[in-house]
Amino acid sequence: MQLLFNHYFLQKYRNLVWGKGIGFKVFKLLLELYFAGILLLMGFVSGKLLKESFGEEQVLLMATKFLLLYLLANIGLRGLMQSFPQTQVRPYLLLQVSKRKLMHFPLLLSLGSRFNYYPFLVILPFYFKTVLPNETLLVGINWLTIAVTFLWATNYYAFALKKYFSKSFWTTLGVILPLAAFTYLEVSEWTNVTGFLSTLLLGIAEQPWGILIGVILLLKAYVIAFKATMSGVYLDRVIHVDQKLKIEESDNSLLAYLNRFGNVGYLMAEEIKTLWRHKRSKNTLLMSVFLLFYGLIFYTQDMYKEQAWVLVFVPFMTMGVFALNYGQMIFAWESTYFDFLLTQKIKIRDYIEAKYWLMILGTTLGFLGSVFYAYFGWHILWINLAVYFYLIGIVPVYLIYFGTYNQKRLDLSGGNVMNFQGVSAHQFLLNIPIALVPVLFYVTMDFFGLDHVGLGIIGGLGVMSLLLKNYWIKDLEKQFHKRKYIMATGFRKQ
Amino acid sequence: MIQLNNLQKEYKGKLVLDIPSLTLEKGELLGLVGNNGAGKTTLLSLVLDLIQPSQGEVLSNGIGVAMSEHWKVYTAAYLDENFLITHLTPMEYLRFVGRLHDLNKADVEAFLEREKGFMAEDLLYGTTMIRDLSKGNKVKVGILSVLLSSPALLVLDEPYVNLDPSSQAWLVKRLKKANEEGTTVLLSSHDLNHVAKLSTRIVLLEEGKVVEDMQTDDHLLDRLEQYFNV
Repeated sequence: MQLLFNHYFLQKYRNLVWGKGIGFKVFKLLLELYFAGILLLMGFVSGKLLKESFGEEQVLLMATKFLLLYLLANIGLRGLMQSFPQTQVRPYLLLQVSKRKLMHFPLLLSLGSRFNYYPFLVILPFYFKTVLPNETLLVGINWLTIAVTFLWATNYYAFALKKYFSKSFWTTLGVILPLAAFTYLEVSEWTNVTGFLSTLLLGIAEQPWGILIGVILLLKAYVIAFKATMSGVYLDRVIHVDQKLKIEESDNSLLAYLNRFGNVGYLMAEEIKTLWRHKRSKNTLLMSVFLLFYGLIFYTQDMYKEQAWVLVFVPFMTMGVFALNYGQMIFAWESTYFDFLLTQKIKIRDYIEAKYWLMILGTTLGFLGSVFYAYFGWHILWINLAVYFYLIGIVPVYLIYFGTYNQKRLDLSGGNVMNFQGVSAHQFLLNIPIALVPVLFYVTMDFFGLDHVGLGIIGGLGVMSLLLKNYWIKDLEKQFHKRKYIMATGFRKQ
Repeated sequence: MIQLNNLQKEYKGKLVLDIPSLTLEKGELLGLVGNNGAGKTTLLSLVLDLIQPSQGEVLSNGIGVAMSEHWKVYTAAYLDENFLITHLTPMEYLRFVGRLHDLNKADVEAFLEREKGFMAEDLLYGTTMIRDLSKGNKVKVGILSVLLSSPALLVLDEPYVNLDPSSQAWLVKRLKKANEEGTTVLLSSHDLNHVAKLSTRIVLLEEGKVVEDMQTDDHLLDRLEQYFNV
C-alpha cells in the first residue's frame, strides 16, 4: 500500500514538466483561485444572508438543507465526470499484490480529489462565523463531522453510480433524470424532503452519539464503492471502459451526400466520422446544438437585450461554437494518424479545404438554427447575418493558420467529459481576439449611433475574406508545409 | 527510384544519420538491417518526408520529396500505428485508402479476395474497430492497406514484428511476388532470416552510417549472422 502511494506521488512529481505547458497551468491556477475566492466570499456572507432570509432560528437548518441539496446534485455530476479509479491500477494487476488490497488504493486516493474540498471554502467560514458562536460545542463538533463524512460519502456513492453510467447512455439517463427531477422539485420547494432530513440530522447532532451517524454512512458508502469497483477489476474491462461505440454503416445520408463533392467532400465525411466516433469530440458536436439556445438567456432579459456587445457576442457564440471548438484543435483531432495523412495520396490543398468547408458547414447550420431568434426582433436577424459572414470568412482561415502551431498530441480514445488532455492555454487565448474584433467594431460604431455601419464592417470583412478564399488556401498550404515536420514530431509524442 | 544525396539528420547536436550517397534502383528489394538506434526508422521517415533532413535531400524519381507531393501517388508506406485510423473498422480503413487511389468498393473486395488467408475474415469484415484489434492484427491491416494500391514503391518498417509465424511466411512470399511484379520495396527488419531470404540487396546500418551494402548471394545469411554475433 505504502509502495503504491509512493509510485503515485512519483508519477505526479515526474509529470510536472517544467516550462512546457506552463501557460495552461498558470491559466488553470488563476481560474481556480478566482473560483476559490468566490466560494470563500460566499462562506463569509452566507451566515448573514441566511439570517436575513429565514430568521435567526432557521439558519443552521437551512444551511444543512443547502448542504444536502448540494450533495444530491454533486453525486450525479461526479458520477458523470469522475474517472473510473480502476485505470490507475492497470500496471499492477499482474503483480503479486492481492486485488482487494489494490482496490483500496484508488478509493483512498480519490479522497484527495480537489472536488472534495471546494465545499469547505464555503463551509468553514460559515462554521466559524455562525455555527460555533451560536451553538453548543457538541452540536458544533457533530455538525462538522456530519458535513465532512457526508461529503466524502458522496465521493464514494458517485463511484458506485459511475459503474452504471459506463454501461450505456440509457442507464445513465435513467439515473440522472430522476435525480435531476428530484433535485429540481426540492430546489423549487415543491417538496421538502431535504428540509425534513435536515431537521432530523440536527436532532441527531444534539445527541452525544450523533457523531456516529456520519461515520457509519461513510463506511457504508466505502463498502458499496469497493464492491462496485472490485467486480470490474479485470484487464479487459479496465481497458474497454468507454470504448463500446456502435458502428454505423458509413453510407448514411449526410456522408453519402458529401461524398459527391470529390476528394474534399470525402475527407470532410471522414472527419465527421472521426468526430462522431469519439466521446470527447461528440460532446463538442452536441454542445454546439445546445449552445444554439444560449441566446435565450440574454434576449429574454431586458437588461441585456439592448446592449451592443450582447447583440454581437451572442450570435458569435451560438453560430460559431462548432467552428471555434473544432478549429481550436483543427489538426490535432487527427494527430494519432497524422503520419498516415502526410504519406497518403491526399493533396494537402484538399485536406486543408476539407477543414475549411467543414467549419463553414457547421457555421451555416448554426445560422439556420438560430433564425428563430428573429422572434425577438428583425434587427437580430440582420446582426446574425453580418456575424455569419464574419464567421465563415475570417474564422476558418484564422484558426487553420494558428492550428499549424499546435503540436500537442490529442488522444481521443481516452474519453471523458472533462478531459483537458492535449489542450494548452494557447487555444483559449486564440479565441479572444477573433471574438473581440467584431464586438469592438460594433460597440464603437453603435456608440456613435452608426450601428449599421458597424454591421457593414463586420459583414464586409467576412465577404472580402471569402472572396480571397483561393489566395488564403494557397497561403495556408504553404504555412502547413512549413510547419508539418514540427507538427508531426509533436503529434508522435505519446 | 530513390536517391539519397549527402543526407544527414541531427537530433540535439548528435548525428543520428549520415549517408553520403545511396541509391535504390527500380525493381530492387532492399532490406535495411541494424541494431536498435542504427537509424533505420529515421532513414525511412526521411524517405517519406515525415522529418526534415539537417542536410542533403531525398530524391524520388529525381524529384525532391519535400519539393513536390507527387511521390505520394506511387508510394505506399506503413511504419507504425500512427498510420492507422483506429476508430474505423478494417474494412472502412481499407475503403478509405482505396478511395484515395480511385478504387471503389468492388475493387477493394476483389483485392481482399486475392489476399485471402492473411487476416482472419471475421475481423477483416467485422465491426471491430482497429483500436480494439491485437497488435498483430493491426499490423496486418497496415500491410493490406499498402498492398491495396499496387504501389511502385513500398516502404515498410519492421513488418514482421508482432506477426505470427504463418503470417510472416505469407508476407515473405507476398513481398517477393510484389517485387517480381515490379514493385520496388524498401523495408527494415531485425529478422535476419526473413530479410536474407527475401531481399535482393541488404544495407547494414550502424550508428547512422552504411557499413555494408551487399547483393544477395548464398553466403549472405552467414555474413549477417557473423556481424550480429548470432
